[in-house]
Amino acid sequence: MSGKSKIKKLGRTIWKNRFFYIIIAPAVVLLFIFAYKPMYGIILAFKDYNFRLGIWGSPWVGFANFKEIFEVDQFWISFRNTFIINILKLVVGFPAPILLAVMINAVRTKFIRSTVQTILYLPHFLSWVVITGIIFALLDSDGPIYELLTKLGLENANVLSDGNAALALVVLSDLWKETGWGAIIYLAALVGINPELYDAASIDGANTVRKFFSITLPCIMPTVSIMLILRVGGLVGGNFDQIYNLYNELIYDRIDVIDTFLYRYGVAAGRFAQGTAIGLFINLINITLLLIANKAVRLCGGEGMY
Amino acid sequence: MKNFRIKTHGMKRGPLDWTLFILNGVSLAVMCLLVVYPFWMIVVKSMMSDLDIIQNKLALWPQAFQFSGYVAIFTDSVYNFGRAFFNSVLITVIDTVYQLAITVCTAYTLSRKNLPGKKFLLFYFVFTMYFGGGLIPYYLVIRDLGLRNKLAVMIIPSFLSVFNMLIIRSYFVGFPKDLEEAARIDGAGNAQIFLRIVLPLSGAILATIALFIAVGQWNNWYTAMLYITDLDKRPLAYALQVIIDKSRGSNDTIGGQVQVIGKSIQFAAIVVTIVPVMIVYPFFQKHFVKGVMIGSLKD
Repeated sequence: MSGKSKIKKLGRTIWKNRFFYIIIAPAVVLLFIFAYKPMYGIILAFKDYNFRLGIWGSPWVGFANFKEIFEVDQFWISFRNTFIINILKLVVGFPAPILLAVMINAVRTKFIRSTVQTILYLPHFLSWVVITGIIFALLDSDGPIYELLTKLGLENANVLSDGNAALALVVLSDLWKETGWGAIIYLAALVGINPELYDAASIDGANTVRKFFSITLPCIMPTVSIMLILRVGGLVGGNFDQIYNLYNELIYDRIDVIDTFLYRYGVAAGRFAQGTAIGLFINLINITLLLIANKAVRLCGGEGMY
Repeated sequence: MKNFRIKTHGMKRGPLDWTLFILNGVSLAVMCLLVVYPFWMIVVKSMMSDLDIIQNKLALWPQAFQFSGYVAIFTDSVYNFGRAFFNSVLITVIDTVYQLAITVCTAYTLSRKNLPGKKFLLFYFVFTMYFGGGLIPYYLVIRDLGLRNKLAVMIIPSFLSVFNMLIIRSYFVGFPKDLEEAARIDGAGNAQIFLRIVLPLSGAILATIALFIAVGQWNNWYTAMLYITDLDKRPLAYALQVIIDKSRGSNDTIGGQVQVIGKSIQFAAIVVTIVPVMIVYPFFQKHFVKGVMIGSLKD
């Protein structure tokens, strides 16, 4: 076939499929404006931003913005905190939904099963603004947890002014909010397991624990590894909604995270160039982590994401 | 057959299995209580006077019902909750329709086999999941478009979540081809197949994604915090955030001072914000599983 007729054929295929190109066009344009145009703005990280001169007109300064933020103590504190919080959330919050899914799956009565699910999914659908509002209501001096702590001899216990207590609160409240919903994906995987495997194991005399380790866990492993990769890829970011609504100056040293620091330092204080540099730095670290995690899971014989 | 299987399960239970079975039930019951109680407490306290709230710490039942908190948030123009509620309903309804339409169209095109340029288009979308300009370049784009302080800022930029799009796409990829072939033989075009055959058979997945979009938008205070200063244009979630933030004298509120806002007002504001979600979401529950099949995201 000659080149010309190939092009003609391609043209015909495209024309035949015009409907598909037309319906995807709005998304392509909007994505260009709201995702690709901001990428162009990244050059601000290497510039001394001047409102009058605009992004392109502002003078280049090389890595000066990075140097500047690397010298700010709170940047490293928030960086470290982000990492600690996410690791703790991973250690506590990653296995929890798997366990919960197995627990819910063991309930055979349909009504109880779906009621438990309805209740435990609920917190996921509420914002951190609401959840922190409720947390304050529990912890304030007119709340039941404060009362409980007082009865336990921890008088005037103020979780919200003690760094370590606040750190525990951050991890536990996340556990409270997301464990239920996190279980749904594993439940879907559990339902897909062939019941004959369990019957065969029962006949061989395997008990519940044995069945969990020999059948359940291996069967949901692909789901587990993909979820793990996704979690690791976000280790150095996130948590803005939770932390911003929960924290105060007294506990900045323990629970201020990169995203909240970026908001205060970059947006609220108007340091646009330095803020862009922080954003770029974090994005690059997360991509690296994601690729490493993906590779690691594959090396361990699991299924990667790509 | 099914009954038979359950029976054998029961018969084979040893002492360890029974212990685990009971432990399991008790643990699940405790977890449910831990989730339900805080909501119960907030609802009960929202119907109490500020004085009663201090005395009745556990708040299992109010000493006396009174609704001054609810009256205050809807009548006092400082809180402006009526307007905020209206704004939120408007934003949520419009954005759910707008975002769902764009998401479905994108997913459908990207689910086509042998479409010229599909590989590039797929990359064009997925790339933005992993890399982006970051908060400040995005902020500048919004500012330069003149979207600040307009309700449209809550809608126009939230046109698609690539994640949701991939979920719907994987559903379309698995859509039976014979149905489409049959319709084509009957003379149906691409548009007719999409509108008359594919969409009507995708109800469950579309309902789930619509719920995700709606809840996300209902809870969205962040966009409003960044771009909306006008009292009249606040959505509910942000109006609530401001009430809680101000009552605690947050250091981040620009020009903010500690304001004494009664507990009953705060709690009423929380309840008004969560009740619509609590009412709507259980109806979608049976479809959820289809919406979270991340395992099938891969090609």
